[in-house]
Amino acid sequence: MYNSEAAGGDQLALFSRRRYSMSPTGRFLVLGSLAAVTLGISLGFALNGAWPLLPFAGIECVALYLAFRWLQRHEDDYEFLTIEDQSLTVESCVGGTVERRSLNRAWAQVVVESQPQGRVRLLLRSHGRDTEVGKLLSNEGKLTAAARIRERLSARALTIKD
Amino acid sequence: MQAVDAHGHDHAHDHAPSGIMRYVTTTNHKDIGTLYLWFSFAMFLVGGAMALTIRAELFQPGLQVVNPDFFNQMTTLHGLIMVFGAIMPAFVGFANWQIPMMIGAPDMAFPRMNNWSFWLLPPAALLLIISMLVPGGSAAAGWTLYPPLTVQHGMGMDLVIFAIHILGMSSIMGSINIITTILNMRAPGMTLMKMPLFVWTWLITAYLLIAVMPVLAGAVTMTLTDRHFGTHFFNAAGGGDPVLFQHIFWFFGHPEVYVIAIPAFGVVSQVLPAFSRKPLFGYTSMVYATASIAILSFLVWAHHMYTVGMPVEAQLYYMFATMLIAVPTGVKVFNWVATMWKGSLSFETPMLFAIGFLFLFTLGGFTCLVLARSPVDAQLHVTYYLVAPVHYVMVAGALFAAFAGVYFWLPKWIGKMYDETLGQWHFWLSMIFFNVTFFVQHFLGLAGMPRRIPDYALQFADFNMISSIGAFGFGLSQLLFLYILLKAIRSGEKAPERPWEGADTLEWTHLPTPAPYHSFETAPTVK
Amino acid sequence: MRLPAILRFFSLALATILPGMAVAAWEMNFQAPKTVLAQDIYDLHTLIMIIIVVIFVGVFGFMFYSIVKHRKSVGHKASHFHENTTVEVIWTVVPFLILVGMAWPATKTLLAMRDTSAPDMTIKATGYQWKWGYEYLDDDIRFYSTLATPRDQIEGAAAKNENYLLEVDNPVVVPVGKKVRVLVTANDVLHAWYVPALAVKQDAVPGFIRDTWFKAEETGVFRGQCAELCGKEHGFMPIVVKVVSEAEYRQWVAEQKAAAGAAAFDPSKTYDKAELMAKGEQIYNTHCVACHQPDGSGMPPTFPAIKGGKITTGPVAKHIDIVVNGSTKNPMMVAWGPQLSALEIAAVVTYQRNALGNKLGTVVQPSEIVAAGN
Repeated sequence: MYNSEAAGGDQLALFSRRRYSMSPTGRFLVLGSLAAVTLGISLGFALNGAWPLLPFAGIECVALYLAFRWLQRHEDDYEFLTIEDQSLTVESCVGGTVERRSLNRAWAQVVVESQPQGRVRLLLRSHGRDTEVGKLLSNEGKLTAAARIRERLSARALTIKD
Repeated sequence: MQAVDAHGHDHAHDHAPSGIMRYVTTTNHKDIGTLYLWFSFAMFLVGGAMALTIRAELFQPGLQVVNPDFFNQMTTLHGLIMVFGAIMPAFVGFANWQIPMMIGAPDMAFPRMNNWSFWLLPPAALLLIISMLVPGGSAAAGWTLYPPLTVQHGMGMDLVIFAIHILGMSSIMGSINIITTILNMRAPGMTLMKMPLFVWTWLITAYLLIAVMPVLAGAVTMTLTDRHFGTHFFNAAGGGDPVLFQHIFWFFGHPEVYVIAIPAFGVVSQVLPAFSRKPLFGYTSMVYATASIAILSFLVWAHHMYTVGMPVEAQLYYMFATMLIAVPTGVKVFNWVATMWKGSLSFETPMLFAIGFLFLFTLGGFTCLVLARSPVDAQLHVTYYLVAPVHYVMVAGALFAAFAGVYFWLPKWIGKMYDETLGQWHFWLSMIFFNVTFFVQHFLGLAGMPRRIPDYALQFADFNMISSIGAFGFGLSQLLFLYILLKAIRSGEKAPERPWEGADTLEWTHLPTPAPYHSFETAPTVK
Repeated sequence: MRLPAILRFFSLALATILPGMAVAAWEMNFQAPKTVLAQDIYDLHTLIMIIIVVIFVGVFGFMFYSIVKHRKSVGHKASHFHENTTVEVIWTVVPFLILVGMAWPATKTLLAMRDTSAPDMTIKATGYQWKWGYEYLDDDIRFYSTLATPRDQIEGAAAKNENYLLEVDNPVVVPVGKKVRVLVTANDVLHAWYVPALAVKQDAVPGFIRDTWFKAEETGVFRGQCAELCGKEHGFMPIVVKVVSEAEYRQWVAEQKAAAGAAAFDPSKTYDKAELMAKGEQIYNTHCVACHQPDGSGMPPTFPAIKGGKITTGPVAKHIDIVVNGSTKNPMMVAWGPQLSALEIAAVVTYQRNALGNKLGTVVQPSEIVAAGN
């Protein structure tokens, strides 16, 4: 589900972001304690002659670090979708990289694709180019969002016709 | 891939590819949980066949069935396969199924890594089995793999080392996944101290695994370099020390015992309150007791080595530290009994296995208390008195808890009920034959029968025969379990929404039965 | 540690009431202790068992009461208590105190057990794959002790002896009432020297010497086994300790020394083939048969065949070399030079080349072994 939704007239603003139950400080402490224990143990054994434990402890710490870094980088991921008079704009942030695409409202199409694993992909299509949206949403969330966006787009289309 | 429009495709939600590719590529925590559980059951049968080979040879004095070298390979592989192939994956399977549902998360934190950590297991298992077929046979030094005996082995030993590396990688990835899932993906309101105890026990277990897995990897790598690359870590002639391996191995090995036991505590802590229709007694003290057991498990490793000739001061320290573990373990047992006290008990199969666990695990714990006393242990070490408690903890402890868990959650998983009558038969047969097999081994150990011998003196003959009969009975009873599972899957009665009225965790209160393929995509709010 | 009378009564009661009673084959407790230390350990075990049984009955008394009385089927309604700090503190503190109480006697026994000082005599026991070597450091006696149970009893071709698998050719002989310190080490892999009735168990670690001790209170023959997995024949390297009176022990020492003198041979003497073959067969059946098999077929690839083998039918110098110095490629073939005399090696090489299907006619004399550098 989009975390917040604002609609007024034929305009729409949808915002979604990740929700973590652990704070950055918490993550730092967990990673730090795991690494300290692992490295401490292998260092202790290395001092008694069993140095081949060290590389394995090192590899494990790298794996832990990568996992936690992934969490860290994606903590601030968000997606902001707005429908204004003439345009449909998607702004997404994945791992700190912000991407923005504006589509002409009249040409924009909403496509829902079903994938293996029972996953659903939500695409905005215009001029033969697809932009995936709603990556942070559940399947139901995507289907609801698709319906809401369609509703807005067609509402406008009807107005033009008149 | 097909493009569809949203209307009329709400069913896309529960659509999943079928056939084998679904399982090879799956990133769904429920599919992966199922894979882990079936893999573990298959390995349980393989390891069980090895155990029966051992017991067949020990049915009578003399060599009848296998030669001594093959016998040693059997004891070694039985241990490795049961520990790494059967029991650990079984509880990882429970973790995969249950943790996301219990904390209100849609899946594990790293679903693709989850897929890899499972698919590393079958090749490792294959390596263990192939190692028997290479010239010279597999490792035959016991699951503890003590050098210098392992340095004498043929290439089967290298395959075993490689398999252990792969299994270790799988465990580490699995643990990272479990820790991040539990800490990072809890539903709003699901604070740490509201988590079901099963989730807590897995959090602690994953910490243990992360701490000790590099230790095991290092130990077997040093064996490998001693074998092939001219190092002398464990060779006194080159300045090494064979006992160093034992220190490293048991630094891994003792926490490993708890890696197996602690998730079992977790399962039992879910099942007992559900069938007592009463909340778990002393939740907070349960959490602290489990954490203290885990911490203490790092401080007692050398109690497996009382006879190597440590300085007497060290021996005293390990004796006292070991006895200390009895305190938090005692707290847990008392809490479980207090949970049942004044409840409204009913005795369906999961409850029977949980009570069986409680009774026999405590019995095994008590014999460990006997062994903690260094002078007594010096007498009983490496006798059958060691074989008995190990199996009270691993079989009556971990395995019975796993059975309790399967019967308990099966309705939630597949939406069908198992056959209650057959389930009760399974429990009583397992319970009786287990004790016939292992209780008498205490007497063998006291009388001085060493473990890992293919043939024995005549005064041990009677109890060995009883034990072998029990082992075959126990083994056959597990085929009944397979039948019960298949029957439930194929033609089980439809499970009611809440088959167990006392079960009150999120998967029972917030999800339909059977649990949908994707659950909690929108986080529930826990009050 | 001496147990109070009441505990002794209980332990006696326990030992008699339990089924199996006096039947040796249904032994349900430690072997009858034959040293003070073994008695201490026996009592310590009984004490712990009593405490455990009391706690066990207490805890599970509650559980079974609950199972009977608090069932849903008898209409019991569940209470909803789930905490009680007082009770929780009690059942944390009380077990702790019990454990401290139990630690005290265990500590005393442990200290006594590890006190190897001031021995009356010292024996060095060395574990080999798969036999024990003994060396009496005070009397300069040394011998090997191998399994005496014939192969066909193990394979079921003959009825089994009373002491099946627990009998050796040369037992350790010690005097009664003397503190015997045992230095334990190993030659190849880990072993452990374990005699239950004397309450000794000590791992044998190659390259390191550990020690233990015992002081037998009465005469008799006490049997034990290797207790650390040491390979294929781990179950077949027993330990037999014969405790005799001081006078008998002196006599035994004298006999051993005389025998050692008689066994000394003249290296230049030429032995005839029949003599070597007889001796060789005996050596083969003691030392070689476990791996290379009674018919010499071996268990390739780890244990190559003697019968038509590459080495046993090849040049004799290479054959002698591998027996004396062991194999460089296969760690399972150890150097027999340090363990066997020149005569014994000559005999066994002769036997291997003229029996077990080989008919090379080679006769190797002890002098050749000596000349080859042994």
